[in-house]
Amino acid sequence: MMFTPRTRRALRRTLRRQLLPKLGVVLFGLLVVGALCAPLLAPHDPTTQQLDEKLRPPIGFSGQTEQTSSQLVDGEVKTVTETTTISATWTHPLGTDALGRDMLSRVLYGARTSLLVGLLGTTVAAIIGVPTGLIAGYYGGRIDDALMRSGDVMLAFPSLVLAVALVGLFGTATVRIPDPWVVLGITPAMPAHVVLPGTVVLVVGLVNWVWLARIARGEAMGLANAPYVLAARSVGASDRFILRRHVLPNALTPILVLATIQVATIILLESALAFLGFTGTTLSWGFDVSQGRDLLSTAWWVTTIPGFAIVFAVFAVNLIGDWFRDALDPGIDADGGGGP
Amino acid sequence: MTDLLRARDLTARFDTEDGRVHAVESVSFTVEAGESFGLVGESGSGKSATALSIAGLLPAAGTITGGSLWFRTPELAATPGEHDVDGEFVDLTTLPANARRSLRGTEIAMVFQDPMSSFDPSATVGSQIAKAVEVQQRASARPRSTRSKTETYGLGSLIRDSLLPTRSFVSESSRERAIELLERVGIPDPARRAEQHPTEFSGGMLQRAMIAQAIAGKPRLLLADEPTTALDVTIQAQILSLLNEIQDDTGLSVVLITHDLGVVAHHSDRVGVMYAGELVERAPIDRLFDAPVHPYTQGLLSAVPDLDTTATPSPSLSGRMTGLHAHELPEGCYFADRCPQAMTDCRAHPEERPVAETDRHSARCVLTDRAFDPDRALEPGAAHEMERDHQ
Ligand SMILES: Nc1ncnc2c1ncn2[C@@H]1O[C@H](COP(=O)(O)OP(=O)(O)OP(=O)(O)O)[C@@H](O)[C@H]1O
Ligand code: SF4
Ligand SMILES: [Mg+2]
Repeated sequence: MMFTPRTRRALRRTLRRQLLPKLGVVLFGLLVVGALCAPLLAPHDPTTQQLDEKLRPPIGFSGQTEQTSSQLVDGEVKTVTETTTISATWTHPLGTDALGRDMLSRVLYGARTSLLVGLLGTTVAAIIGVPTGLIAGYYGGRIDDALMRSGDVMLAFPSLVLAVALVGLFGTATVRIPDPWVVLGITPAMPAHVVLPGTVVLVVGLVNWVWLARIARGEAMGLANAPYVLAARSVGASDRFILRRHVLPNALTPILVLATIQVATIILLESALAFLGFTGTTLSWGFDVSQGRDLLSTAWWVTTIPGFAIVFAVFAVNLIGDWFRDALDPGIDADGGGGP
Repeated sequence: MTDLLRARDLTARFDTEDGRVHAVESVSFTVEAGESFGLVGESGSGKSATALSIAGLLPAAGTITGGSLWFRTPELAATPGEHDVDGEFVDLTTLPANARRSLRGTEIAMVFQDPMSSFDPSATVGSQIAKAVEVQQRASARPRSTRSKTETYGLGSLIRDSLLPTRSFVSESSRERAIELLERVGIPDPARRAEQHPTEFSGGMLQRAMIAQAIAGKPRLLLADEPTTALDVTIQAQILSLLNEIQDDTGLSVVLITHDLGVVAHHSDRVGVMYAGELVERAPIDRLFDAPVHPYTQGLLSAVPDLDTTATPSPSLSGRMTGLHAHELPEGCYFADRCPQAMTDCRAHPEERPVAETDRHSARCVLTDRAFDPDRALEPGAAHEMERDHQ
């Protein structure tokens, strides 16, 4: 795998000794299981509208809503207060939204979008950022300046403007991945596809590669002067070989730690973009939050539940990131790299 | 004997924030095929910079600014190109970077001072030696290029490795050769050792492995930069005799860098003494010990306790070597402020001149052709003041 045995030992040790990493593993596990098994766990099709079931509250929040309206009765304006009782039902444990779609099912399916964008977006960022940073740091000088300045330009560009521009150029570029559960005939086709918002993945990758490039650059700068790099050069190793076999493996730990934290950042960014309607799929927590915006006073759960899901995911990923960071701190782990 | 390397007026500089450092100043010496040439001098005298210049491994701040490095390589001399050729010799300083790289490992290899940090902690020792083997195989298959057809190191593979970092990269045959090499340098149980990481080795074992890596490409010149300084005394002797043994077997030439004249006495055929970036004296080992000319050499010799020399005992060296920044270097002899025999003649910078009738012994000192004259002696420290007045 990506880790040396020594690093794996450090990871296990931290997991055993500390509480928060355990919590992170449990929460992140829940998130992954929820996303993977959404078709098995979801009680309803998350896209089916049932208008007669709309705006049901979550279990435990049955209640009455007072609706005040003015009516013209006998030439006089009267305020009439109607009290309607809306009761929660176990058919929709987390309630329903304004169109009567099941919130629990939407949260489970939304986890797919968030995780997929989080992981793929980080991969895109790493593909751009890690080689860029390694090359910049290893060679230094003008190559470094050119590459890192282009990164600065990228950072100066607001992500929303970039998103608008790219959505304008490519559309949402959604990719429909067939849902394996449906393909295998295990579950009925609720939505038959997982919709991957291509442009959003690109945008989050483009916005975030600079951070990975910076950390890769810092590591590569130190490693370029490591005695073992000089020793490798003394037997004729090429720069490319050294970048691959000596610089990259020794720079990997801090890059991985940052990449983990980037997953959380990207999940948040995806929600923001979905909130603004850039994703091209409605099965996204950010989109759901935007749907509930006007209902905050009457049906808080339509925004709060997907909002909570976002917080949950970000929290879980950050706990994992902290675990990696604590375990792989180069100061403690001689194997983890860091250089001189 | 044939010459392998002829350094002529080699000059190297480091550009730093405080100005240019004159690390190697017009250094000339010859290394013959199969011999061991010792390079001694105190810390900062430019020994490593000389070796790195020869290997083409100066850091980014360093450049060879003058002189030439004639290396005997008939194949390359016969290859047309931009480089300067003189018979079978090629001037390394005129070679393009990729050609210099293809010489590293296969013609010129280096052993460094600190074996512990000279191996990548994230890879096994065996795989790092196997890599050196592959470099040599590729270079012999296609001279002047070390790129293999099966393996590319381009951007694509860098990206691929960022995602899947541990792909195997050495062939089975190189792995076996690596084990053979480990056995050759006297590492017990080499097959098991090859699979271990550097942290599981002792310093002496790692230095042996480092030598195995250096000789993997069957080089003809080995630059050993203080190969034993970081090791225990008993281990030092073992490493040096290993080097001797390999030299006897393979006809390898060695440039042995050390600050210990005792090491040079036992292991070198000829010696160069460096001071403040200059080669101040150069002689066959016996001559250097019997009749040192340069007062710095005399001082070094008298500081070696267990060597019986017939040299006139001179007080051991006091003071510090001059800084090597352009503005710090004195006008006259660089050693004058520490020299017990400095004379008014030394206010002019001495040239390197042969001693007596031999062309194998030379020194950069006025004493090559005149004796010390107390009447013209400079007061201790006077040379220094003279310099300050001058500015
Ligand atoms: N990367 C560098 N940048 C600037 N100056 C350098 C650099 N490397 C070496 N120097 C300077 O060049 C001079 C010669 O250094 P060099 O390393 O060759 O000495 P040395 O004889 O090998 O000493 P030591 O016994 O300490 O290894 C020194 O004054 C040193 O400060
Ligand atoms: S030239 Fe003069 S000062 Fe320099 S070493 Fe020789 S005698 Fe001493
Ligand atoms: Mg040195």
